[in-house]
Amino acid sequence: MSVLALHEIGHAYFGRTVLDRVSLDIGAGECVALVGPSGSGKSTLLHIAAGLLTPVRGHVARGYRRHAVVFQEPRLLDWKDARGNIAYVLRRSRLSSRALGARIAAVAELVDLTPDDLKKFPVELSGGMRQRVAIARALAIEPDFVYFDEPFSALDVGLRQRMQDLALGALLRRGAGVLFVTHDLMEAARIAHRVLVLAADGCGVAGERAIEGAPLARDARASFDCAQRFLTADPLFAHLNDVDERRVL
Amino acid sequence: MQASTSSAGVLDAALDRLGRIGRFLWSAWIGLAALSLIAALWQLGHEIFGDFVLPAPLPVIAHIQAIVAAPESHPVILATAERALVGLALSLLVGGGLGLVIGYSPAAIRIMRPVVTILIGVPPIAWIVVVMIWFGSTDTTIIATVVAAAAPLLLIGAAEGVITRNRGLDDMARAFGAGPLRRATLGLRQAATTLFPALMMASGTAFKVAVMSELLTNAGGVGGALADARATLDVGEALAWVALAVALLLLVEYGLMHPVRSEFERWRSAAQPWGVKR
Repeated sequence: MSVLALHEIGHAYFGRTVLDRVSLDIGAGECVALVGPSGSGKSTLLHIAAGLLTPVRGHVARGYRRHAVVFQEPRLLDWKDARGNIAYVLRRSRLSSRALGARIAAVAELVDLTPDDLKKFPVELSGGMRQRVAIARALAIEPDFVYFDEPFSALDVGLRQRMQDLALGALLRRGAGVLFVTHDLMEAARIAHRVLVLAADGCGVAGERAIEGAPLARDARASFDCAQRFLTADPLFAHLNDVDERRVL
Repeated sequence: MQASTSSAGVLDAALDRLGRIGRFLWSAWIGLAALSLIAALWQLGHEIFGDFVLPAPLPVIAHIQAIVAAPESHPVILATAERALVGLALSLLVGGGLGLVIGYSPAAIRIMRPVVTILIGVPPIAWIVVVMIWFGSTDTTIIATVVAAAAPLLLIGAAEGVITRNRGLDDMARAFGAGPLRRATLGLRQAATTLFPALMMASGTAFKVAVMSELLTNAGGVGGALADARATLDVGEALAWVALAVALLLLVEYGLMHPVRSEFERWRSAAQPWGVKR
């Protein structure tokens, strides 16, 4: 049973086609990583799936109840402290102030934010902590589907792994679906059930590979080997870093 | 447990507020230092140019005291304050409101930009002449002139704030299910950053223009009192009235606008280094 189905999606910015005939299906409780060369339209596809962009062609079927998005940048409200930022997205759920406090405390604990951190404004927090607030905000609405748009690319390796465990662990345990856009194949190999590769020109999904073992249970060695195998032996991933090379020339 | 943490939170918030109020009041010393500096330069000018051209600050202060103590001068001061403030409020409503709406529409911005440039370019004195023909020497004339001078400033301030808002936040709010109205409040909140400086400028303009048009239209108020002082060549009296008009502006700015602004931009002061804060 799929909770997110994109059918023949096509999109263009000012007449320049960035996506064409892209279809994908994500099942309940499934974590799908979407990779592709830079500029292949990964983020655009995620924005379309999340309903932030209306595609020129094709349609999106959403079978989940409620989604959340974690963007590449934290996108916090500067004028609210961390608690206020999390509470901002909970306003629609009409919780009593006690339930609201409990919910915020619970998600803050999940991403390792102390009650003291919650009182700070975004400007007083480090980059990693801001992103953790953004993750807590996404988890707070108890989504059953979450979109991640290269959320950890600004974090260092150690913190990145911890954030993967914190954010995705909580979601996958609850059976939520995840679409995770990344350009880091190592990351994809660690967290996903399945890796989808977007074609370099955005014309459809070039292919997909299932990854052995459960997400997050794989150790660094296994995900590194998997990523290496993909990059060296699998023709599907041959063009993954192409665009960057062209840029260097 | 829950109750004790929330009461601690209330206490924390109260202490935080008390600290901020204390800091604000303490900063008055710096303002006083600046005023003393002006008074010193004034005294110097007096000693160079003599009593007729520039009376010494102390006699002028005595003049001010006399004016403030006299009950018949209170309505004069209040009239000017009322005209300036009503004009400012109308400007905020019309200019600020229009600016917020325009900020969301690229086409409207393109059309309004030259219009605003023209409006700002027209000297207030031209408005006075036209408006006086329309309304005569009344409150309406003064208020309309104030609006004509102050509203374009607020329009630009509000529109600029909406234009330069962080559009990423709009997407964020939409991703979490916020409707158009809640997204608009997001833009409004961000517009405060440019709207407040514009409001400070506009309030200065409001008082200046109010006094000037009172003087020219003979509509009473501080401007009317200034006209009387000019007629009797009493420089001390004139300076006392000018000082009172400035004091009114300072009262509005530091009694009303700065507190509201610092409440809105608390996060900004949280980011400031210690030395800048005090």
